[in-house]
Amino acid sequence: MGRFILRRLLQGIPTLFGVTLISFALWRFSPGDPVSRLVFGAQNVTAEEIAALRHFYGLDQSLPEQYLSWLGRIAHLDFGQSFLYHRPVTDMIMSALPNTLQLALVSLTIALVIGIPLGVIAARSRGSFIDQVVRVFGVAGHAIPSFWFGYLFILVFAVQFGLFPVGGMLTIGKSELDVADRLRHLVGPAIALSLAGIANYSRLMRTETLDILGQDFIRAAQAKGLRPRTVLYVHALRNALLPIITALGGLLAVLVSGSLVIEQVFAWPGMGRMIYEAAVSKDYPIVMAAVFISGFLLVISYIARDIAYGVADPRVRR
Amino acid sequence: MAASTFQETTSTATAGSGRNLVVVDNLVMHFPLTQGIIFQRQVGAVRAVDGISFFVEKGETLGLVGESGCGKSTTGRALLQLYEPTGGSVRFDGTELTTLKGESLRKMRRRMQMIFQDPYASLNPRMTVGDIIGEPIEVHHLAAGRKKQDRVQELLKVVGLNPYFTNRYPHEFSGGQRQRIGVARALAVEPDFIVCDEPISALDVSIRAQIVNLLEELQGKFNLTYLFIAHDLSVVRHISDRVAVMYLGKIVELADRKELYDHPLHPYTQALLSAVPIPDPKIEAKRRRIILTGDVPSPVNPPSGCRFHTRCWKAQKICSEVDPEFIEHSARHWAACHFPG
Repeated sequence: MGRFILRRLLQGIPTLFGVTLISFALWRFSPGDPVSRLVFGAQNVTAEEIAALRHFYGLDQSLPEQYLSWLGRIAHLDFGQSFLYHRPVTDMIMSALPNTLQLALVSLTIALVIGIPLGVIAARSRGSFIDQVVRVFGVAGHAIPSFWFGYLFILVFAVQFGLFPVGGMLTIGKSELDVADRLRHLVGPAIALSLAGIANYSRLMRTETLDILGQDFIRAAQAKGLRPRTVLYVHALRNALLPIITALGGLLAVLVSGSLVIEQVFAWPGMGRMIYEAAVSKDYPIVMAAVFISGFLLVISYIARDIAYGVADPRVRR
Repeated sequence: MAASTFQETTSTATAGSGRNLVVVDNLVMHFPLTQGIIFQRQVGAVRAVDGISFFVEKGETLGLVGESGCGKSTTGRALLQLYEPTGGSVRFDGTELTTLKGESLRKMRRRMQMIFQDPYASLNPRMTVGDIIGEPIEVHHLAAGRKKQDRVQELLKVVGLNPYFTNRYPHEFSGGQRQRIGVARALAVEPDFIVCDEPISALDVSIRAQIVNLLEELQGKFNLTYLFIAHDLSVVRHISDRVAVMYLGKIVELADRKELYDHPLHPYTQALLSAVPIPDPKIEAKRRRIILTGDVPSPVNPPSGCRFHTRCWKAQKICSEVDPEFIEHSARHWAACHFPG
């Protein structure tokens, strides 16, 4: 197992270099270099001053040199300055990331805790009314756009009934440590974000469980004289949960880059909203940092998935 | 001799010596067919097993043959209560199984086991061989801890595998080895009765004889009773003491092996036997095959009267009107046909 993990980690390194190359290229080949942006519209800028600025940003070096020095800087977690806010990108990410993680982890937990049992219950009583409801929900949950659901939630529960706030993370003026207030702000975006997850996991779990329950080894487990519960939880679920691990594979990256749409709808001060605003206002250092970080986390989460798979499925371990 | 119905014979047989381990009476297994998008309603049923009666004597091997889809496997599973039978009765050593529920049924399972057709599908891929074989031992409180492990190793030895394989996973074995693991699993609880559901159909021809010989050897060693389900008539002839022939959810003929192969009464049995190649070119050249025309009718909507009449060359008017009774035509030789012989 140790060798397996080590090998997967080593295999991740070239992928990671690919990710840095792409984020670098994204920056360098996008229209307008930082200096021409900076001096845009300025009347009395001399050529010497522009040259000095280009030297300051390192743009007078060759592309490979620039790439290497950029690599060196991100190795120290220095992603440069935001063009728009003139603040270190690393600081901005560090303040937005916890908010995003909070929202993402809550909605993921909701999706798994509701989705998986729902799928198992539907499979166990196939053809029943519950099964029909789960199946219809499985389609509807996918088809309903999360932003539409988000606005509907705001319209009904925030505007009409005033039960929940319209957006944001905290009521202005309230203490940072007011947990009840934070939770009230969390309800809307968390539900909107978990909707697709619930639909996805319940559908996946239903199909998988049904498939496994039809297998001979389940009949063999029954014939052994095991309790029906043991057959379901030990023999069937251990096999049916594998695809959920696969589905969770790319999740870490999604969690961190946040939900672009939902954070926008609920004015949630997270990574998603930050990236969205940066992209709209061509704030490349932030976009680049975001691409690199989500690429990095994607690689990490695939490795984590493979390891989890190796633990769960003896056939993968080699 | 006067023809007596099957029920009369079995009831006297069980009342007498008690040498029947399993008595199946009018067993019915229907699977509902439903239709509808939101509200499902039953529109029919697959009549997989439609009222069959037979008995299995202690220590014998009863072969059960028939084409694919005739209900052989369903019979085996319904008999072991892996399905809940729609109707009829299954008595195991005097105990009625169809009304047993929960704990009492689980306890009975120790005495009756199953060997499956597909050795790739019948072993849980996420469990070690030791767990697969050890689990039933633990569930039925036969042994625990060190003793259980010893027992697992002993079982592996009994079925001809290396006893040190306990920590391996099923995917590390070949088909034949996997089937041996399946046999060891069935043996683990020291059962009296094993349903062998086409245990060699999925195996390489070269491995088949090994498994058949293993099953025979174990039968002698542990005094086992087998219901051997197969569609290969030569294997059934080799291993069985008696043979039952199934067609479309019914047993059409049941007799001692030699009697059945020498004097088949039912036209379907005759057709099946005529299809078996003879390993002697001279006799083989003279073999006359009875070719059945048409397909097996659907078990959802089986033919009226005798189910075989649509493909039978002897069929007359009565065959499509009256379902022939299962009658003992000579000693221990039952057949359901209006025109036997």
